[in-house]
Amino acid sequence: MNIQTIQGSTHHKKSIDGIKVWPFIFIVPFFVIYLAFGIFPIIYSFIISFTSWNGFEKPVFIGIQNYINIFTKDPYFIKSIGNTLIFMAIDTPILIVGGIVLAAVFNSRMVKFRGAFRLAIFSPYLTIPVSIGILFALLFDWNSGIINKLLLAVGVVDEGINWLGIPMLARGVICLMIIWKYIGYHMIFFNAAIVAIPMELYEAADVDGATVFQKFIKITVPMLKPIAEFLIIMNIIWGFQLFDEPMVLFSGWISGGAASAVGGPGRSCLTAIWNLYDTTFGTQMQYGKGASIAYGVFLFIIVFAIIGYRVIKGKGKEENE
Amino acid sequence: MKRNSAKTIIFTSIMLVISIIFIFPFYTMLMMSSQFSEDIYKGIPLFLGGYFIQNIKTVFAANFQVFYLNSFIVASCATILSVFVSTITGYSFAKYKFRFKKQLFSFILITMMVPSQLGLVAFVVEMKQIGWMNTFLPLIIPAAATGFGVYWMKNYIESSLPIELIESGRIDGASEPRILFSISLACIKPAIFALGMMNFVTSWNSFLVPLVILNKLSTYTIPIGIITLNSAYRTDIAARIMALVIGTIPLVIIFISSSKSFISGITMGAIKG
Repeated sequence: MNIQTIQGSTHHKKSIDGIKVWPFIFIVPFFVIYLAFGIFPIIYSFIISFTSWNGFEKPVFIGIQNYINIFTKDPYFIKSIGNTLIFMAIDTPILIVGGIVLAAVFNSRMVKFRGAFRLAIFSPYLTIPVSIGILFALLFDWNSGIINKLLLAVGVVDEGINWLGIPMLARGVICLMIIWKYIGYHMIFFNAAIVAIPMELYEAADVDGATVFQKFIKITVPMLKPIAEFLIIMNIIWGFQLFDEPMVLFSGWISGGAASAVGGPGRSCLTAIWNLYDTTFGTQMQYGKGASIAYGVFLFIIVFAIIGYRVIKGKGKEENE
Repeated sequence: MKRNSAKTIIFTSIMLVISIIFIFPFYTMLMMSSQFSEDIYKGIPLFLGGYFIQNIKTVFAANFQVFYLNSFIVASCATILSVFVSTITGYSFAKYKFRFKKQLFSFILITMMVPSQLGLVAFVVEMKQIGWMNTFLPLIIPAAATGFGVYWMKNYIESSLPIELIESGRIDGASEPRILFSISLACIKPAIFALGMMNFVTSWNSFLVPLVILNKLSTYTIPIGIITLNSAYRTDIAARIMALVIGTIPLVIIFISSSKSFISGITMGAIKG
């Protein structure tokens, strides 16, 4: 009897220890890996950003010279941020409005074969970004692109348009590419939000004799606002990270590398991360400057995310009052 | 009733047209991949050409299978490791009480906001210093610790793993890891599966890090192989497009087999929050 109680209590003690110790053991791998390969490079990059360094010789400490350089002298940093903002300013409204409209159409019970349509519209989001760049390079190629062939066949133009050679048109192609890739993603978010709207709201509106359009404007759109806000902030964060597709689009894949150009025509499509890549690992080997560009981009992300957040919240207040 | 069926036709046609626009680039890609290279420039390739098999042969004659294998190794290892780390971390945050739990979880949420490119320059320097350049380790190990993975597993475990199950395990005298791996795991399988799919696609598509880490042809993954390999296929553009098509197949399989869990996975965080 006595022995049994003692055994019972040690056993109990053991499992209590387990409850205390194991949660820490379980979370250790995550934090070790993140400290080693997430935090450490971020801090180390910050230090590198105060040096002039080509990655091989001894780094030279130059203070905030890199930051002064990218913000005042180097023409490409500000240009790359500007390009990124242009893409965002054009894409975001189209993605939000287009996503809502697509989701509304998709959600109406009038549509058959929904699964197949969702698959079709969502598929660009999952495709290898590299192949999206190549696809659009093929479609919009000056000589052999399908878009030009279609336009010529219809007779809209007399000769092929140099889509990827004229800065404004090249930017248009990038915007189209982003919209094509992400609109399915937006649709799916709005669709999930529409499904979550309580049916009673619509039923009450039906009682009041509201039309389909009125219901859409008065019920659906306001209920989608939180998701729209989330997606706008995400668009800002992703927008600054754009790299794979534009870089591949202008890599000269079709011409076998002959026409490869950093940043597209006149660097009109140089994105922030492309600039970072090119400065550090591409045509230049300036690790210090590259690290300062990374921090510069991060600064812009924070500033624009906060502005975006404030604008959204500010607007919400006005509407409520 | 008649009005409704007319509407059905109209709405379905609208969706059909939109879907065709979205599929069109993929379709032309597939058609181009089956042509004789020179024919690609002649017209609009709307139909399959006769060079399908020939182009596949060309692709594999250029050692494309090496890239394929590399991508599979990297994506599989990265997926398994990151799902494992996310599961144990998420489980810990969902089902245990411990000191600084709240602060540590807030930290994980913050890591989700920090763009991975912020530390890229020093990451490459770090990889050089520890001799990981031209290995797969930089593509596998760092990808194991993702804030999203932990967040995803924690949410799922919190809502669908009953605490009674864990407690009954404890009463039976099972150790904590045993409770997780042989009792709880069955309950959280769907979440593991969905996260695994998402991680696999992310790893398979990854471009920037492999681009700066892998400099040897024999270590290239598919995206790097496709983009840098201009010389091996010469001007055989149809064969190169075929390489793209082949590289996309695993994604198509994954998406068709699990599009539902995929989509719910992507939207989960936002709808809940």
